[in-house]
Amino acid sequence: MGFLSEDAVATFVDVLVRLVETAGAVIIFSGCVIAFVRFLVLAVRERRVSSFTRVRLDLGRMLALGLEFQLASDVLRTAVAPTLREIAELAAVAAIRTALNFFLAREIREEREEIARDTAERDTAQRDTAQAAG
Amino acid sequence: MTDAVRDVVALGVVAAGLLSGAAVALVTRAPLAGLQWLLDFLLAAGLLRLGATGTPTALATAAAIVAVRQVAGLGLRRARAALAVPAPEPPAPSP
Repeated sequence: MGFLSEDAVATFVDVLVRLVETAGAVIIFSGCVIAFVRFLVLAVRERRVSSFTRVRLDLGRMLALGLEFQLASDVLRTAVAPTLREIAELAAVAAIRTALNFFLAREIREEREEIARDTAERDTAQRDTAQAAG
Repeated sequence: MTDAVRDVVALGVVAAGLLSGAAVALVTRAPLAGLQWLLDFLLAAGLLRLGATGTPTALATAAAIVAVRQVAGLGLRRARAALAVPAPEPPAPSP
């Protein structure tokens, strides 16, 4: 069973870790590029803060998704972490990413609530204006 | 993705964040919005750097950047909330 030797498993897991981590990095980078392009469009067309907040919300979602991938790579890495030092470093990175994911999710929730509140206020104001005019 | 490529990409993200953050602040005339925009890009760059298999010092640096970003973001949200809520009216004089 040579293909199940420790070295073979370690190599396979290492390849998987690199793949998943690269996917996370690509997602984060894509989120930044998309946000930057949308920023360019918004800067020319509309100049409202709420529009930029929506783009930031989407960027935050992409960052959270990228973080999930990076966390997955950390979990994979625990399969082969022979030394105590490597495990400690892994734990530190995983802890940072988990805490970040928590804060990012909270931030996204707050931003979403704020956008919903702004939209409701704008709708109410428009309705009041229409009623006053009618 | 090699560490060198990752560093270059992270640097590009920081540059894009600086540029667009300043532009958002100018276009919307809301410095806080621009700063939050910049901080999001800095967070993305920090996350990209955090993925690098570097030394513990590099890891600590990336973590510190991310922590600073979180603290600054929290401060900004508090500041925005404080600015949004009107100051309480002074109590009416008692008869």
